[in-house]
Amino acid sequence: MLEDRLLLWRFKGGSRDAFRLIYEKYADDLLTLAANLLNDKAGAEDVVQDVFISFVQSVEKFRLTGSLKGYLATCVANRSRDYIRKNKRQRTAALNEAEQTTSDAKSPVQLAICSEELQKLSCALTELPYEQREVIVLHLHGDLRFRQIAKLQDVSIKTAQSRYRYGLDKLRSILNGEVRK
Amino acid sequence: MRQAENIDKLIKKLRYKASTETHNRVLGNVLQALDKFEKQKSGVIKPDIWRTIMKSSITKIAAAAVIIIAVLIGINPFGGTITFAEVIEPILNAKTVVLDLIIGSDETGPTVHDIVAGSLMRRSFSNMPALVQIIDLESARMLALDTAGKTAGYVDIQGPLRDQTQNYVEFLRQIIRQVQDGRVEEIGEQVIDGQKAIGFVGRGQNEAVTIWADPKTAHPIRIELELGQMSAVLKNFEFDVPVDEALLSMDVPAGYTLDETEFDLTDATEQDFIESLRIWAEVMRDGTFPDAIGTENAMKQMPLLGEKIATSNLPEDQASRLAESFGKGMLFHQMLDIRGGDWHYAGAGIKLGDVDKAIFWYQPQGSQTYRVIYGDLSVKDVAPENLPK
Repeated sequence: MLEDRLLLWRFKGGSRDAFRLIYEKYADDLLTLAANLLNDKAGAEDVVQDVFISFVQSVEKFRLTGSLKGYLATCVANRSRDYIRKNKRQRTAALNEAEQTTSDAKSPVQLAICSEELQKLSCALTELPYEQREVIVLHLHGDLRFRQIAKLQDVSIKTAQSRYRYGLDKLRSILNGEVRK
Repeated sequence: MRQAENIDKLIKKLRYKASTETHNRVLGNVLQALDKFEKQKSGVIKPDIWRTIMKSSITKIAAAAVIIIAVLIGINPFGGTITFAEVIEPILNAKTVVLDLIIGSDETGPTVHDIVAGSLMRRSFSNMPALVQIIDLESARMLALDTAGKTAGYVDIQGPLRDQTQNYVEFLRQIIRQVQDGRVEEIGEQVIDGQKAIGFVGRGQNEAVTIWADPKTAHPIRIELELGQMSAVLKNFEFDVPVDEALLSMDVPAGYTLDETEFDLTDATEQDFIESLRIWAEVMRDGTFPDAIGTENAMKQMPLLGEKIATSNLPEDQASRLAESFGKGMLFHQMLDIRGGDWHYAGAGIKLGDVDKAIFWYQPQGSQTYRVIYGDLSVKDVAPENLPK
């Protein structure tokens, strides 16, 4: 946390190296987050790139009040929603393609996944309603608290927690073969 | 299904590891966007405007000191001292703070004595007893007093520097919070300046902040700062001591003359730095480059520079220019250091004019090569593998 503040401070002072260190520290986490939200490799890269571009352009006025990772994760979540809205058709196609390639283990997230159960889990995640998937991914990959996620989704904390619980229950059901596609 | 019961742990394993090519492409695109943005920005944002208004012989050197210390206010951790009382008020509830700031080590560095009340601060220097600065962070203004010559001058600190000062106040505030919350590394107890103290340290890529505090009250006893190759110590804190308001007045005191000479500190360039090296060798050292450079050494040499200027019989405008050049050159070096720039000084004992000996080299931001300055103050671009050993 303090290291992030020092990096930010240096970056505001003009240090490109400081920005590189911020990028290296969080890029993989953010790509994971975006990839799990979108299930679209190219889209995830676009989203993360846009988040970093927006960050460097606004850093002078930027005031960090919480964790930098939390801030960037929230930006990724917002951008992912925008991406989905703007690319609904394309995304639908991508999801269809992802579904089609599930068995071939070629979906973007699955490229990094070796085990069969994780491939199934990745596929199952895409079957969840977006709000549930978003809570799960932001909580487990973005390290966001339910309070932060609730604010992002403009719902109560209880609703965010319920979405998380229902989402996990559904994933368990899918993996246990209780829910069919 | 067993894995379904530990589903949250399984989800955490759904990692997307991008290839090096992907990272290079994304990072490259971001940096390209940043370049474009900065170019657009530089076309519309005016540079900082710093003006010192002072004329007498000692205030010329005060101006150079002002430059260096003002930079510290704006960019370095020392800047927080201006509003230190404000920064730690939630913890200490102090309305006034008195402290000593030592640039360099306790044993050798000049001591800067600060009296802080809200956004006002009175600053004096152990090695320049005639110089007093009164700084109002709120209005970004500084009143410099030559108490010996009874002259005064105002310094305006405007533009991005002012914002950075405010940013840094927030930065220090956060450090104090983190010390309270235990989110920095605790390094145990020691006797510091005769008191039992508990230490906390926060480290960055190019910076380290160590805070020693009373283990019972959490009141700071000593703060040690390392920034690039520069270090400083804040100590001898006194809280809520009565402060005479007149000491912090931004009005020119009775009996003082307000003199006017402008210093243009719009930009500090490599050429300014080279000129400051020339001044250091030619004016202050009889033709030999100093053993070391940097803020601590520059501050130590300020009285000598003042003395040399006073005895040089230089015309008024040239004397002003000399002090200005030295300050700007040191500003260039300080910025290089603060930004984590790779630099090396090797001028100790080398004579001004020695064409074969490299005295300083650094890597400009974004450059693949180094700028090497030689004893005759010529400069060449040199590949990293060809740098002096």
